[in-house]
Amino acid sequence: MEMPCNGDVPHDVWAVHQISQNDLILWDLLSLVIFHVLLNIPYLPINQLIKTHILIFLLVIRAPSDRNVVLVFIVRIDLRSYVVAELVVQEEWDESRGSLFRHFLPTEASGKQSKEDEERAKTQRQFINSYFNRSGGETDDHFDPRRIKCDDLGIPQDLSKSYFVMSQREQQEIPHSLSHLPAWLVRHFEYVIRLSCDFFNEIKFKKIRDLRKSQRELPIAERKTEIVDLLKDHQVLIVAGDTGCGKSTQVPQYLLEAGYSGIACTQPRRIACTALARRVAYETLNVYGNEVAYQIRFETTKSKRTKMLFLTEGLLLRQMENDSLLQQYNVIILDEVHERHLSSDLLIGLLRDLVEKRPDLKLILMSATINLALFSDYFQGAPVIEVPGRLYPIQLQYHPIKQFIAEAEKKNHKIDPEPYLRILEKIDKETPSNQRGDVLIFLNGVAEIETVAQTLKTYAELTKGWIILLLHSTLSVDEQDKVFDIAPLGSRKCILSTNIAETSVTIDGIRFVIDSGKASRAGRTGPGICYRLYSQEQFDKMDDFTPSEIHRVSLQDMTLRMISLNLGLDPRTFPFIERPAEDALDEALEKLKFQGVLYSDRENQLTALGNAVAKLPMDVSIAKMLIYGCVVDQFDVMLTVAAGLSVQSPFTNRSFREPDTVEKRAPLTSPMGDPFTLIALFREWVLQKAYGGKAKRWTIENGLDEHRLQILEESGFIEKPTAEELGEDDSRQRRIEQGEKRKLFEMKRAARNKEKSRKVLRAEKHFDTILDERVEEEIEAETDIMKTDVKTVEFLLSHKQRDVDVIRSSHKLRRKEAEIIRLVIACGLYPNYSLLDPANKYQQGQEIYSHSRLKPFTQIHPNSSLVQYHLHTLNAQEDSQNYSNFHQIPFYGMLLETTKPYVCNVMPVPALYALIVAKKVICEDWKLVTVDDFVEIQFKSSNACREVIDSVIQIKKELKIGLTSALEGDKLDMHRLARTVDKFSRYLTEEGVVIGLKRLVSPPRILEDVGFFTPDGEVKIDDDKQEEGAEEVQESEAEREERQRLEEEDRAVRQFLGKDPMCPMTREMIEEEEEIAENKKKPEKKESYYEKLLKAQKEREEKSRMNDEGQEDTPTKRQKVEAKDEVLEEE
Amino acid sequence: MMSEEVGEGSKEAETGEETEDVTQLNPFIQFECGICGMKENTLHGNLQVSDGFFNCPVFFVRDPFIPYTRVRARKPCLADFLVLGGTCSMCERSVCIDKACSVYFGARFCAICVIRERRRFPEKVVEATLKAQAQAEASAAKSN
Repeated sequence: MEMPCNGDVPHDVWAVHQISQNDLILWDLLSLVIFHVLLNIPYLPINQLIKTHILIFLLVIRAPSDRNVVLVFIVRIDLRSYVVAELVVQEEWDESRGSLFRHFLPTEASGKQSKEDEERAKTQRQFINSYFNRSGGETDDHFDPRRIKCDDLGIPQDLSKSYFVMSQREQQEIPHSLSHLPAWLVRHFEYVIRLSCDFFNEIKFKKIRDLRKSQRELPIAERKTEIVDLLKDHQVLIVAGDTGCGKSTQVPQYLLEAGYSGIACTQPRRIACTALARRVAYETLNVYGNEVAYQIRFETTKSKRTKMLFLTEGLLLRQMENDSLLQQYNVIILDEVHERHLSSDLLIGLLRDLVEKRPDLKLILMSATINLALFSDYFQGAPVIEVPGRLYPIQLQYHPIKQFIAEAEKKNHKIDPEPYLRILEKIDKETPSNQRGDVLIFLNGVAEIETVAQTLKTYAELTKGWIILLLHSTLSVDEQDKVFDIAPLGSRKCILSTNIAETSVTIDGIRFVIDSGKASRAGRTGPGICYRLYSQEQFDKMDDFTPSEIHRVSLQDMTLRMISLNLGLDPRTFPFIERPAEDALDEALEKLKFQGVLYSDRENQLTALGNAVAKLPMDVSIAKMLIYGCVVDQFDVMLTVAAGLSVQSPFTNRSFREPDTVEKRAPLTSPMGDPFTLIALFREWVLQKAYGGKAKRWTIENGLDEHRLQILEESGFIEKPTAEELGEDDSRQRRIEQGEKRKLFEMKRAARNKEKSRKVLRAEKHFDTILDERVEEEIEAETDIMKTDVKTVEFLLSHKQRDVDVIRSSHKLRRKEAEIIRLVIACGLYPNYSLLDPANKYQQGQEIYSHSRLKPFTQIHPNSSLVQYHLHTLNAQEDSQNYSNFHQIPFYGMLLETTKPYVCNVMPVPALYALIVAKKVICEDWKLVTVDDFVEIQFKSSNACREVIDSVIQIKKELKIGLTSALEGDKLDMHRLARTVDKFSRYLTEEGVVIGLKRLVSPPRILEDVGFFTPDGEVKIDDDKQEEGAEEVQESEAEREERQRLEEEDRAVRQFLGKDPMCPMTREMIEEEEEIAENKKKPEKKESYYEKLLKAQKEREEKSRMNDEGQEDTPTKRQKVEAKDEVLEEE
Repeated sequence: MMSEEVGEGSKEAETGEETEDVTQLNPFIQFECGICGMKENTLHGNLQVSDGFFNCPVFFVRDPFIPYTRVRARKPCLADFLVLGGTCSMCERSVCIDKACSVYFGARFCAICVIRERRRFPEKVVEATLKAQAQAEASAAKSN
């Protein structure tokens, strides 16, 4: 009996057994057979087969040999069985998924999608693909949610997988494009899309569950209701908990949850503000809103919607000056008060007073458990909540270094990195590398960190298992942020930190802590090991805490703050939580008097200058500089200098070790000193930024930290004049600017959001090269105008083209301007000036010593641009009797005491400038002048002495008049002063006033009987002495008239001379001419970066608009929606 | 800030003029799971967006883990949101979507109702709920 069959049917099966689903080998064989059969029966399409579920077909199996027997079997196969289904679907799937994806999940045009969308679409495809590849699906499912039949309780009466998915889709009839596919497969696909939505939702949900669980496990969580309840009935609450108890992150959230708003939380450190704001925003699921914000010196994320603000202690104090009742806040949290910073001590005192004045205000003090009694005694009756610290078991291991040094000797000791290295080796040996866990090393100060880092880096390069990172306050923000990034799999990060990481900053994943001295804690986010590089006995002997700041540092700033609060506070009687030493307070008050900020003869009263100084959020000397800068009409430049002096040098630390860079940037530096180098740098940078678009590359090549330049640029301490004020109220122009601003604003937000995601560190990039990769990216990005970074956009937002032009012209200094600026800087820095040591050798690489009034033997910092490039300018080349006409006096911005006392930000001025700025000048015989009981100036000729003193008096007076009227809001034309100063300086250098300089050793600490005395008697200039006030105003009135007369004369003469072609031009006229010529010469304006950027953005928008055309929304409607969006999104 | 995505989708354009006032209102309500006690500030309502919807009102927030970017003409989709819970269709208790607290089976049912009415639910549903509850208890016990 022979069956009619074509020869394609396989011949190699002898018999067919009873087929069961479990009989896998046979199934394999059989599927092969079926496969062939199916392919050979074209009139039975696969999708119909699937629908029938059961297939009956014939198997024709012929024996291979001569037996010539043909067996015919009828096999009944249930297609619902797993193997068969997969076979069919897999085949089907590969063929049909293309059209399914195209129809259901079309790829959006790139203009309509964010990066996240693209990412998500990709994951979704993967999910769906792997679903079908893996399971194939059960075939008895109809996948049709519409078929649902429920009982009276709403429970479905049949079982479809689709009922378990909560995400729904509009179910449409199967479109024509999919009609060739089995309906079953289409429905199945729809189901999987819905399933994927549920799946992604579940992942996010789980993330939140885990977060909440970890919050609940914090020790502070048990006291949550107690804290909220206590705060209802008490104004002041003290929360004492040790590191790791969660108080800093959780208490603010408890308040938010309890419905409080207007919450301020102070932190001693800026980095803690940003880190906490980020953390709390994350935990309240508000990462991308502004409900939780921070505010630090130059930066804020605050908006109208902000309910919770993290800010520095100093900033809150500032706010008290304008708003002594702090009306903008309902709750104030002072965190880390046990650290006892000056500002927190002062705030505690002020706020204790304030809670009495404002019964609606709540105050929470948060501290470690040490020294708790101090606070609870100060706030009598305030309830205290004590929380144990530490969450996870910490294993303590003592590894004492043999030569452990006592605290006192530590200063001179150079750290040995060996023990730290040994512990890293130990970790490598004892912990498998697939177990995650990073290392945190606590060290004292930047010097120690850098020493240890170098050694560990060598080890890391060898083992390739470590990434060495640093964390201390002098790093740029970018560098600091790196410690939060995640180490790649298989390696650990090792963070070397000063104690800023000890509190407030929680770095996820720290498992090992190496502690070299003070008590510190590990295991904040997981169990860990603490290696102590000292013995148990030594630990027991250690002091519990260092003395608070109020006993250690200068009280000058705090005193000024107190007085400027205008609450009639007397620093000497203020009820401090711990009283400062009497003489420290006196010294601070004296220094303020020295600087002319306080009246020298009255208690705690600010001079007019002092009032202005106190309003500015910076050091007294810098504030003074700015004010004088305003007086002489050089505000823009002084702003740059002021900002530059209050941050670190814009040169990166690293760049000083690279000879090429050091050499390359020489032309950028100025022989007039560091402040002038700064001005030149800043001007160049702004131009690079506005025109070149390659600013990043430029900063790298010159070893500059762009962030620090950024600060200069952001230094609008004082609001820029608006268009109306400038008399340029052109509403059309303004509208255009508004539109541009909005676009930039969007770009800024996009860029900022991009920055928020945590990144994975790259292997083998350590602290010194960590930023390079980013830099490469950024340099790369600079070539594409749309990939610009947040900083550049911010720059463009705050600087319109016009501003850039202003900077370009104002920062280009001509001699006359430079001269007056240097005088103004000297005025501000006074009394920070010093005398060069006569033994100095002015050769490259030599250490240059100078002596300031109260601190002899300081060294000019070797990184000063002056010492690096322009050393010769300091050389007076005096004769054997110490006479010279080149004597210089270096003024300095800061005295830095590290291994040695260094003076930084140095600016030399001609020695005789000291007479202009000094508080006490005595000349008894027109030959010898003593300044501040510290400098003795010997004139060679008494005529020169008279001339100099006359000029000095004139300049002093003009400056004084200018200042008085500027402070009264009445600005004078200081053209004349600039000319006088210029004349004076030219007189000094060109005429050559020969003087000898001598230092008077150990001058009195407190300067008494100040004033300007000539052999003719005292010259009254300062209005320090109140009783002369009235008289002086009159004097200045008379002088003002005289001045105006002189100026008019001047102008007349100039005009007259100008007409005469034979008369040689005055210097001024030449300069003016040059300026005009230069303006004319200016080539056709290049298209600025700003314009390019806007153009690119516009093009992109046009494009996406074209894409939208003809789609669902009508244009007007869309605009409406957008308009609404803006209101909602922008503040 | 998200209210515009909620609801029918086309009505939102017309209400544009009133945004001034709308922003003053706090659209968030406190959601608390009636079983596990999970508490979050969420929005509540029907969620219907370009690529899907939910059958009944849900407690949801905008996805807190991805930045909110505004791309012209991009329509919000389900993935922009995070649904935390819903209302039990039997007892109207608010419950979170944790498997130990509720199950979605044609509608949302809280675990209490599922267990109570276990005879009327398919065995599979009841088993899954019991299993999830046991797991939740075990992990709670472990952490204490």
